[in-house]
Amino acid sequence: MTAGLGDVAGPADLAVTPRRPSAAARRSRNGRYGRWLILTVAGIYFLGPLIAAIAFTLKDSQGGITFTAYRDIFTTSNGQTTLGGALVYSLLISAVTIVITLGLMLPTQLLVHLRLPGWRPFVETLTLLPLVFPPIVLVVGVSNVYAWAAPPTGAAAGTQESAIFHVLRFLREDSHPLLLALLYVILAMPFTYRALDSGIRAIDAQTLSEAARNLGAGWFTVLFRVLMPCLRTALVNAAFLCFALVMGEFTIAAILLYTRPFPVWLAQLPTTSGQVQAAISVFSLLLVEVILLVLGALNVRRPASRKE
Amino acid sequence: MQTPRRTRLAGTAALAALGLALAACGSDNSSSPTATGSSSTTTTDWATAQSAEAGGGMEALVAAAQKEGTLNVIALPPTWANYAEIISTFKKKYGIKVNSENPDGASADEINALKSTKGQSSAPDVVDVGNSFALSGAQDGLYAPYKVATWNDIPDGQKDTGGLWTSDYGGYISIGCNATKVGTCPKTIKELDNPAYKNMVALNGDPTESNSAFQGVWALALANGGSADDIQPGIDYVKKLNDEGIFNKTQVTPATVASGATPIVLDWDYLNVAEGTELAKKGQKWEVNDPADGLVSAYYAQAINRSAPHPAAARLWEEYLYSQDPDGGQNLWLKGYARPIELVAMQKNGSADQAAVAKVPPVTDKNPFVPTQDQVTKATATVTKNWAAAVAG
Amino acid sequence: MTDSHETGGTGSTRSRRVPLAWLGLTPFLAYVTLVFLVPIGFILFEAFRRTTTTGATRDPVTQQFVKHSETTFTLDNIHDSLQGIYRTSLVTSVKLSAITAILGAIFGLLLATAVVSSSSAFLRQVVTSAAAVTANFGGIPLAFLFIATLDANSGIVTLFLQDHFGISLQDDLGLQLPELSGLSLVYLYFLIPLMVLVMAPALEGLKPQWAEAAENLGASRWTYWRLVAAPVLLPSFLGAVLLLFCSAFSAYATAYAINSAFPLITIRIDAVLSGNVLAGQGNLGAALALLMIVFVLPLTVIYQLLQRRTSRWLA
Repeated sequence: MTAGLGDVAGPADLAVTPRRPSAAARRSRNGRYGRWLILTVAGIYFLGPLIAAIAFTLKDSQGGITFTAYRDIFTTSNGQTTLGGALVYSLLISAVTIVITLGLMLPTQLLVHLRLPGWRPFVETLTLLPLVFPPIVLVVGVSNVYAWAAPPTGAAAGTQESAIFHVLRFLREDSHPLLLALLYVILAMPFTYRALDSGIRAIDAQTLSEAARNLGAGWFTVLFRVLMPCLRTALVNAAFLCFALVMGEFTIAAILLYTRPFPVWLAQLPTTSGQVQAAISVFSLLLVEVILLVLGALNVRRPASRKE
Repeated sequence: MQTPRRTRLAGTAALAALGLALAACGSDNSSSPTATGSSSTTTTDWATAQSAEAGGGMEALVAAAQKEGTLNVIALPPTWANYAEIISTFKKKYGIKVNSENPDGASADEINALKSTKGQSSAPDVVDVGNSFALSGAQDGLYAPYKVATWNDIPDGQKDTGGLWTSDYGGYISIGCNATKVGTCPKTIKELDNPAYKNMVALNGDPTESNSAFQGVWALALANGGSADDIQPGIDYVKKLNDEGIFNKTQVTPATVASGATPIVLDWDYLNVAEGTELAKKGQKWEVNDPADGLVSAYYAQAINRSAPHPAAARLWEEYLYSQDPDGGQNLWLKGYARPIELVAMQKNGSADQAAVAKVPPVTDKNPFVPTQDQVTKATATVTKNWAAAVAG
Repeated sequence: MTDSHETGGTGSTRSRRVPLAWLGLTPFLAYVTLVFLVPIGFILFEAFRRTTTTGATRDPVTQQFVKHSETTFTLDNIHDSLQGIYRTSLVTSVKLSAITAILGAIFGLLLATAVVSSSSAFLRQVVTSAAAVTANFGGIPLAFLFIATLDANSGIVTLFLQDHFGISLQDDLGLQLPELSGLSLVYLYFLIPLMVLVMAPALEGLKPQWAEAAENLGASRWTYWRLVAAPVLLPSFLGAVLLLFCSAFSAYATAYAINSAFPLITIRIDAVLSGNVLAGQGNLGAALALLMIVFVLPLTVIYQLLQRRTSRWLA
């Protein structure tokens, strides 16, 4: 793909063929040790606290093991939504978030990369801004906008409602929380931008698109049949990031008084038990992980990278 | 990934546009969520009724509330002063659905919600906020005036003269202690200063954010020569405990209490006692003492949203909370180990649930601690200024 | 979005195309403005205002107060936000974020290399998805994980070290969960996965041919990394460090859950905008938020300058 180093490697290969196997073997052995060392240390660091928390949730008052804390999660209901309902609600929000994110970010980033490189610093900084503010600032800002657009305090119900207010109220409706999806796109932007950006940079989109254009492809073809398949890893990463964010984001949804998104539902399960609360945290982490693994497995089974 | 993204985007945009059109149509009708009550049999607009009598009597109120069918509450944790039972009893008694939003929210969140949810069917109908928020909300015109039937049983000074807010329940700052883990539990504030309690003593949160932590600091101040005018000795005492390694800064949650991470907690007595009941189920002993050398009590306050989507239900809820019936709010709060505002009157007229009264930690409070609003403001400023430096490091 | 007038793509017609291509940015700019800049703008605007209430009169019929107050434009909030505890909080936030960003970047890069170079697709999948989940996992749940492990009273590791080795986590190892040392460790839990997520695609972009070519030319592994891989990765790496810094800088819930007294600027903002004690301090909270952005913007400028410099090496 990149002309250059690949070509240089060609003639040199023949000259040093005899020496390569053992050097390569030695290097791969060392590499393998290093890799396993890193993975082990990482495993201990990430799994250790999780195991400690799980141990606490399984503790019986007599010192044995009990699963009551987890059973309570499935059997406790907050009276209105079930676990399944909350999951579906959040899944739908994440689907909308992913669609908006990819639909907005991918064309924009490709545009900047291919045609407007001078805009890159500006766009990049813009995508970093949502990360600078704690979520509470954004949600209070949204509340302020809403309060500003709303009819004045003393107004009778249903009167003095501006068009902006109608839009905001519609977006915020509990049955179709588009406002959440819109905000989550913003929250995810710093990460999805990077994920897509790394991917775009790595595939040399310029050459690819030029080559495709030279062969007569229109821009739609270039985007959907040339660039996107090459960017699959980045796209999937970005989608996973959105998904994980939506399934884990609590503050904004709770303060905007939504009760049905999965993380909010989970955190607000009526329980007096500390053990159940800890079990809830563990459960949310593991559940989202399992979902992502399943989705990832479906992804891996497709033919391997076509980058060659 | 096979379906063109652009199509999906267009589809979403079309949906949004359609939705906007529908919303625009919908708002032209006069039956928006906030215009309720006007079509009930009596022509009362409960949104402006300042008492049940003024609206046509309790039966009319109940009927109107049941017609509305839903009540939105906010920031009411089920384990807080027995709110779980209060909510479920209300539901059963009147057949009205209760939508409990953001149960872990704080008073500021409640005020923000009031300011920013006009026209939403999910706007909170009622709030339960700390005293300074009751006052500031009243000044900002967020509340609807309403005087419950038992208005005269509520002490003056614990209610807004116009009925914009009313104190509901309160408790004393107490020392909760895991007797199984700690051995000898501290009963007074001075006893906290003991190297045996290394890393054990925690406030419930940060005093600039959490009301119970703020009042906790005041309790510490009273035990160390402070007063309603002077909260600094409390901050100094925390600094002392911190320097000695006794002060624990982990945020207290039922999980940390159950796991033993926070064995000694300064918090409202009704919360500590409830925690103890929960722990007793697991075989752990949690002792609760109201410290005689630092008796600080505070009440929270009820207020009705001026733009409540369900004004009749909101008022019925208030009547229910202040009712002195055996299954009314006052007695249920008592059951939650809190001291209801009408307790004095209820003891006099015999409606207080004596069994519940017995479970509330006993307190001999000769000089009730009732700071004025100015004193509270001053203390807040002092804590904001000096707290972080005192507990750093 | 990209206009369809363009033919053949040699790029030399750029100056003529730019105005049209510029329009292609409109959806993105409009979106960010409406959904992000406007709400944030509302708040930051409040940083410059202060309301003084001179009194309130009550209407005897409606019982409502008519507040007599004056809202003026002032720099007092900004001034207050740089004093005392707020200044300490800003400094501590910066310290914590910088330390954890750098450590997270280094460890994250190592982990990412280990994962990417592995031949097991399953491992890659597990780590990538786990990273996505963990990067978003924070607040009380994450805090509890570490409290269960390292808490001074009841942490499993603390007790284990104490009972079996007589080592005190606090006194001998200097690791206190509620202090900078412990909190840094906790922050890495969501920062390292973030780094892995961000760097994995960049690492995958390192062609194996480059490594082979370097090796054929006699370079050692270290030389390859230093002269070939590092320059290629540097822009992504720097961007990732900045990302980690901002992520740590704006984190709040986890630190609050572990140590509600820890001086972080985000904790201060939350106390004011979402707390139970300080009513009517919204303007100060806005000033603090303004402070945060004012601090970070220069960093992004520096990053962009560094970017431009390092990308020259690639040209």
